[in-house]
Amino acid sequence: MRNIKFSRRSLLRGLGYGAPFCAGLAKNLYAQTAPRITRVAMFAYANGSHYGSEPTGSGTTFALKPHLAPLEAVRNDIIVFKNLTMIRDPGNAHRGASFSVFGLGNATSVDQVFANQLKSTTPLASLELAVGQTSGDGGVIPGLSQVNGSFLPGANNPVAAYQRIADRITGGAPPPSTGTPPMTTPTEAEQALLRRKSVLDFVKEDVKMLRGRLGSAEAAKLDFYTESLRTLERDITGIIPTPTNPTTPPPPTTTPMCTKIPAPTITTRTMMNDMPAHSRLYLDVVAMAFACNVTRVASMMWGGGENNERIKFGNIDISAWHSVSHGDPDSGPGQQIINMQVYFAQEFLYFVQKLKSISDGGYTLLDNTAAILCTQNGSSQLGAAANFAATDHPPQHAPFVVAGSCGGAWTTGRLIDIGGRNHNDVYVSIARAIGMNVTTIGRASWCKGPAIT
Amino acid sequence: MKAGVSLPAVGLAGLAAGLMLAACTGNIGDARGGSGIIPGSAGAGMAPVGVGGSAGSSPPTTLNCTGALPLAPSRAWRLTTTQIANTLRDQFGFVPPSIGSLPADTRLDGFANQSAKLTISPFVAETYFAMGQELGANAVANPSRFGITCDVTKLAPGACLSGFLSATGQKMWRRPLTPTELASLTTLFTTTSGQGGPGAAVTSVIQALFLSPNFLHRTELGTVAQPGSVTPLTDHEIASALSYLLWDSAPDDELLSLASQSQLRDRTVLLAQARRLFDARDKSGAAINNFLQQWLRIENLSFAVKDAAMFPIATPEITEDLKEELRLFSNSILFDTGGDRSFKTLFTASYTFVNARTAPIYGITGVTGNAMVRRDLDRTQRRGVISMAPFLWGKSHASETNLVGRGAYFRAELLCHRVPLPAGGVPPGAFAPPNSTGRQKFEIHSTGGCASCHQLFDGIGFALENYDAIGRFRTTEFGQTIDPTGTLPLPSENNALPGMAFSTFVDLVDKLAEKPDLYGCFAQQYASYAAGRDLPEIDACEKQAIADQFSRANYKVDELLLAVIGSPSFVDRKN
Repeated sequence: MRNIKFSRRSLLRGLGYGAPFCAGLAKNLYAQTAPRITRVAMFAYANGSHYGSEPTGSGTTFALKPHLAPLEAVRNDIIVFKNLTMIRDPGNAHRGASFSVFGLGNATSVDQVFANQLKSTTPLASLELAVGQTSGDGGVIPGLSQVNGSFLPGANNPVAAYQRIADRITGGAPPPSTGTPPMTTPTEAEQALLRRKSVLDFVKEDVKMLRGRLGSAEAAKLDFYTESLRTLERDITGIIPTPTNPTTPPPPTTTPMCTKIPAPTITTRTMMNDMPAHSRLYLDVVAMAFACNVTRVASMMWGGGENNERIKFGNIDISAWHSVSHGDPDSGPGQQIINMQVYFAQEFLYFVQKLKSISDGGYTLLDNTAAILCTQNGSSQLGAAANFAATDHPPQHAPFVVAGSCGGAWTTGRLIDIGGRNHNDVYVSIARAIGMNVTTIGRASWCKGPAIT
Repeated sequence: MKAGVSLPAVGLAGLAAGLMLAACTGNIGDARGGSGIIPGSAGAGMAPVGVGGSAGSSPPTTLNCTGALPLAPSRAWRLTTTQIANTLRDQFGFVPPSIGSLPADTRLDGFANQSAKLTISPFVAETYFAMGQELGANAVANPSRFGITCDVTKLAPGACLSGFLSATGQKMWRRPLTPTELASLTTLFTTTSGQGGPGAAVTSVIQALFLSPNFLHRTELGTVAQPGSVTPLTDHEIASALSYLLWDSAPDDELLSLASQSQLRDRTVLLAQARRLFDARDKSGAAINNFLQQWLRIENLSFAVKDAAMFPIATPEITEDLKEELRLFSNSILFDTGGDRSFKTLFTASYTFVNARTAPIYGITGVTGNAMVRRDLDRTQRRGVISMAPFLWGKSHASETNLVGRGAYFRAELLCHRVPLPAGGVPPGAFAPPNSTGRQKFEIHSTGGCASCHQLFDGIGFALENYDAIGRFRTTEFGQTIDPTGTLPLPSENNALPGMAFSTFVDLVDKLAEKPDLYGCFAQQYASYAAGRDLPEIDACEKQAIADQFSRANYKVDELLLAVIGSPSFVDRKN
């Protein structure tokens, strides 16, 4: 007996997904006018930007500063911004950024808004990753994503990140050529899934009973738990029946989209000094998650709050990151911060190029993705000659990159001057690209309209 | 080109004219021009603990506290990760390794155990699922620990299964299971046994017990369901409230037995049990150390990297030594023979514990090896826990102290006055001239619009300048003599200016120790921690009642714990 969840799987199959697992389902629906499967990946790092990071130029003839120089290799695939403000609420700048970099002024962060929009189409609503520490007056937070003001912890070691995705990649041997699914006894794996369902059903009953005794604020916490329990559910079926038409032409020979990468072995928590050894493991997991349609929303915090780690690798030699970000931006400390930003741009480049290398129907995975690179503010320490605004950690002139066209929603390879508007507006464009009919996202008063036109 | 230059002190030249001053005086709520609701924070606002957040320093001089104290709402309070680990270790002798994937709990304002913030996200739920799996495997391998007295491979509905479910169920949920619950679990066992055999079913049942909100939460519901009514906690809820407060772990057999006999609502019995739990120092010491570490933000130590060139003795091992120093110091007062259990001693004593690595911080010679040994400190230089390295090291930058931060933190956490950041943000300014002392860098705070807030705490910072970024005592900085004099307006005196004058930090401590502010605040902090709610949310009369009892008990910390436990708000809730 199998308990087949049709809602997700049939949707995915109907859209041409799961194709690698069903040799018989050959139609490439991208030849039709089905909406493209869009993804969003968001990366944010701590301690803000060196003040000179903004690209110059306009339109397609933009020039990157050293802070983003590695992205020259994919200049045709990115949009860079000028005069963008990483708006935040007053108070400690790092604390404000913790709430607003993904939070956009609301109690539920934008990645979770996207996840909510897309969750019925994938086994996992979203993947949160959070490495490095957060500390100081910026608060101890386990990530930048929030639901109703509660921060969501991100996976902080490669194995934990991998496991969230890998054991949701179902499918194994191709189905037999006769087209009839064999009725065998459940395999061990299937039995485990059945037991899982029994356990979760039991627990959900308990939650319901307790919830009935609680007032609304407390009940909300249990509702959140119920939602979390749903992510534990798994499709039971491991064998997908073939369609009845065996004469369908075979699929075009492309590189298999979904490749289950080998499991990493690193279980230690990733701190900034571990990034050279760990970072690409995470990026490969996100790419795998997207390629295998396990989730369509991923977010990653690269240090948060007032991360004050000692960082030494490559050309980076920082005694304490937050402290150095407040050092003289026009000499040694400033150069170190630039070196950090270059490092993150290199990691972002790796991710972008990886997505570019994966086919997604008639497109690349990057074509169907919006990948974001940003930080807490536009300038952690003004130089002697600079004076952008009379506030600390000015949020203006923040470096902000979008890679990919999110399903052909816009053209890339250009600079957009958004005239001081907030990062919310970029996410309005992304929201619309993934199918949300909105003109604001996050706090409405922080929005003026879609930034990418 | 020197890498790793740390924070320069930005002198505040050119202040904006219209700085809003109202924020300092302690108005709860946002005096910042209403730019919007701050998401997620329970009334405390955005700003950090040290400088910002809702204030509330000046207690009203006349509180009408004649009526019954308001009760906290009924709730389900999720266990912290530490509590989960301790519970499993105490009940089964096993902590599932996947617990290592759980992140530290969020901490913004106040303590990290606030029930409103302890939620279960998808990632956490998955980790709990994995932990349940590991615990289940442990049960199959060690059946007797889980009350399985027969062959696991032959488990089926009957006495053996019922014995397992009752024993393990009670250990996990901290109360006997009802017949309905046992029946549901039996059904679950049968179903999952058909889906993989009895061994697999044992794991499934344990996973279900683990993931159930009955394990992951402590309920504070009582038996009265009517909205708006007072609901007295059940005896078992009281048992858990007591043991998780004093031990960060599940009630033991004696507590459970008293609960089953409905004895715990008897205040005499309750307080006697509280005393018994406190005296079990292995467990209560760890729990109270957890509170003290949070109170002093000792988690900063793990991230308080120091400039290696300036502080060659600042090796990574030292931060563990410093945590141990605090633990030994507080244990010496609270648990060791001869300890007087007084908070005043915690705040004013002049001794500590050092090993070979940390002795140089205090200028102590002749200490060798890793073991921490007790040594007296120079009474002209050190007074109590704030003048010791664990706090000072953690509350300093990489190569500089943190004059403003230390002062603001002291005011927020020792005087319970969180002063918000200026409304328009910190104004920009120029870098201070090189080789300026701390006082020179920040003296500008005493001019113009800055003074109204900074006079509340900068004085403390100036005095603490006698301790460098790793807590060593110093009398000069850049060749200039440090001037540690200052004034401190006191909340108990409505922050009247100029405030209490002092000549050094030692003098500040000695004088402050004779005022009520410190003790009242510490009592409130503990009440907040015990309640799992942030300080501003605790009723003002409740806070005053606890502070009064603490004072009458001569500031004994164990008496403070008993005062909190003996309060009606410990055993009753309101729907």
